[in-house]
Amino acid sequence: MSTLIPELGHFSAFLGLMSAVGIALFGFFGANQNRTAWVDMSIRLTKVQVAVLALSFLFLILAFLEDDFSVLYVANNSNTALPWYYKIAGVWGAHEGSFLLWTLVTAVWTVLVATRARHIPLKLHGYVLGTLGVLSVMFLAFLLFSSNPFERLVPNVPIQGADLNPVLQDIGQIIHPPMLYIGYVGFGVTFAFGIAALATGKIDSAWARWVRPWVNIAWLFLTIGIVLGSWWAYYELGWGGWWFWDPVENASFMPWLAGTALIHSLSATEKRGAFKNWTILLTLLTFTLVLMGAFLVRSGVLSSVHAFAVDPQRGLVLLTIFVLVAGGSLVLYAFRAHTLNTQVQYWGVSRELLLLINNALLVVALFTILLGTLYPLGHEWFVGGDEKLSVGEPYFNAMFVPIMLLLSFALAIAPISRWKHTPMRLVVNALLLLGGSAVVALLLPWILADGVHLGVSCAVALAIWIIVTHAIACYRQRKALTLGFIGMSVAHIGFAIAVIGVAVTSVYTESKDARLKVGESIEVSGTQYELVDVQSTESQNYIGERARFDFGVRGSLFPERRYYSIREHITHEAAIAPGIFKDRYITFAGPMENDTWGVEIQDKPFQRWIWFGAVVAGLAALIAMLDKRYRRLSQRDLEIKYSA
Amino acid sequence: MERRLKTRLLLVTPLIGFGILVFFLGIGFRLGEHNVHPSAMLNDPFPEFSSMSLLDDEPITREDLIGTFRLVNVWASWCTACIEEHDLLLELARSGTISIIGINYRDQAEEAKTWLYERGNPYETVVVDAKGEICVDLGVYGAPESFLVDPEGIIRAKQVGVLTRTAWMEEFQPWLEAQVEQY
Repeated sequence: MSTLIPELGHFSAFLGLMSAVGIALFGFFGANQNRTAWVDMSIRLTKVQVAVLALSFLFLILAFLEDDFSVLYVANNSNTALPWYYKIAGVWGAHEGSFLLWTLVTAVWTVLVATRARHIPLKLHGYVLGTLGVLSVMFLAFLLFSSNPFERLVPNVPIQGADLNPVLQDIGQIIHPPMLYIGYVGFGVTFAFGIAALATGKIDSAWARWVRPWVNIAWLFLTIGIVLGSWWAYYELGWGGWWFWDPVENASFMPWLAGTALIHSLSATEKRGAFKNWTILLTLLTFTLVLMGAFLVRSGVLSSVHAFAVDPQRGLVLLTIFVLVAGGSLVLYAFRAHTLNTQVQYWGVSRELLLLINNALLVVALFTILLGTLYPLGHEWFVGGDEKLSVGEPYFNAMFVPIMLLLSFALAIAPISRWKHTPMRLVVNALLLLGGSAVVALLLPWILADGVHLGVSCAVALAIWIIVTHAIACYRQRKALTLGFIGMSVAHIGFAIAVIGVAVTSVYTESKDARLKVGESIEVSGTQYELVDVQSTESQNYIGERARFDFGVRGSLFPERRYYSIREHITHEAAIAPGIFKDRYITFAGPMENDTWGVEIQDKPFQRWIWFGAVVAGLAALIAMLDKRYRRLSQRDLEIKYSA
Repeated sequence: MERRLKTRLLLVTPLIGFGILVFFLGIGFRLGEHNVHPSAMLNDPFPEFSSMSLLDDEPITREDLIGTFRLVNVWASWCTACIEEHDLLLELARSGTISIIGINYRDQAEEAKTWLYERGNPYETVVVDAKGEICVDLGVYGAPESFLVDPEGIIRAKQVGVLTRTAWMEEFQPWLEAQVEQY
């Protein structure tokens, strides 16, 4: 039985491909010919697809748990000494398995859209399912024909596996990729809605209202995924950075920015019928960026700490999928989008204008990152092979920070703004509040820390201003507060919290490198850290040293250095004392000359605020999604509503 | 009419932008493939150079390399891929398998030193190549890249990209073993 498991998994994935073909055909032709029965067939097939892919995934998990090294992928990414939970996580620890997870996530989204969106018109539903079916077909074909996780190593079955990459042996790593994939593929759903709108030639308030919950939930998961990645890098990679502008991080951040722009543009499309073309373009663009990210990460075009194993053929197939899906959708856009245009009137500081500014800034930020990520490729092409360059932090920070400050400015006025036109009186009142916030932001560091840093004060002033204007707006509207408005306010406040975190951590972090003997101590940011002792440690699959540092009255931290013998890999397990207002962060580099030990001690104020703010914003998307106007409305209700 | 034409043109813009994007991705991809079969500089003498050592500011030239087998490794602190091969380099250096000379390619001295301090230093000497001149002579494609130089100063093996354990065992190590048999 057990030798059959990989074959069963392989076969189930193949059945998944077959059902995807069915979903695509029945969906498209059902919509095209207005046949309810065909669309229903497509809906039924989505359930089959999700079931067989779940089964396939389960079989791969079983192969890992059974240490079936006859499966190449298991042999490359697992080991008998690996604890069982990391064996499961190993399933999505490298390219093939993670792509199987990706196809499973696609199937889950598809079945949700099939069953939860039955209230939308038949034509639209059919086209949406058809598009998702096509995406599934491509992903599954790619999985089966060029990244098969069930490939066997027979007859020369290895006795032992190569072990899971040690930096991936971690709880953050277990949940980070699934979250990201749920977010990524969720934008596939909005992409499908965009394509369906182009195909039916109809986009109105109702369409926007059907799409918005899906965008919000995709965005929530993508946000959580990015936060987890950042948090994981922070404690696992061992040097206390939380964002590296690494190509793979950028690949997840670009769709996030486009998705954020989409959420905002959709609100104008829903409430005012504005920016229709633009909204559609954003649905296409967001998923295009998702696919480009997948290509960049999985083809080895750009080197990165996240690099998957490189295989030229695989890259070519991914590039083809990218060109077909993104190129095809943009051709459709070029030919069909003109039917959607509308003129909407607004003047002065209207909410439309603010949303336009928001979108412009987010798109500029996006292209800045795109340029920085792809520039090395272009440079190599023009200058030739003797000069290679890496665009790093200085570029991204210099470009990104001013854009975000401008964005914060527009964002603070958002809650008092009105559609069409905002009375000047309200804008002036809001600007007066900015004055107050600026005073606080300048006084606080002057009282609490030694120096005032103008950039930080600027950012903090804007952040406080955002929080105050939103709090006041919520209070004023307390009688008629909708979940939509609360969601927006909470999201913006979350953004402000993250801005405070980023600004303060970046500037006020204090870091010291030292070589200490046991018993010696060092002072960082007013606290003495003493190296009390160093002991050797051992576990199932690594050996290492563990240091004990004492600080303050009762604080102790235990950073480690581990040597994973199977992969011959060293990791530094930083020890962190987290706090609301500061993190203490110790990295232990191991033995140096003359009985000394290398250490780096960092004092990182407001570090947690970054992730806390982002999570708050993510949850806000959930709050907004629960607004009663997104509950299913029957066609009849809608007709009554719009004839009024 | 003219207005409609303008709208149409505007709607094609994303497609054009996309075309340019694909063009660059395609190039990146082709460049990536070139990487796989490098043969330039094999069996050629290691080029002449004269520079400074990163860690003690002593002058260093090609003469300092000659006389024994050396693994010459091009790296930089900005190079994320270099992290991947670092453990192997450390292991080779600590076990005394071979003496490793680093060429610090287009880097800031302070950042390079911090990098070595944080991750451990496998290099006997690090040659500073701040402007990338040595690497041009070496035909370096990008960091990381590794060369095996024999006692006569001839390049015997070369790896473009991360030095993997397999590459080490298949391309580099046989030269060392042949040397041992000779004496």
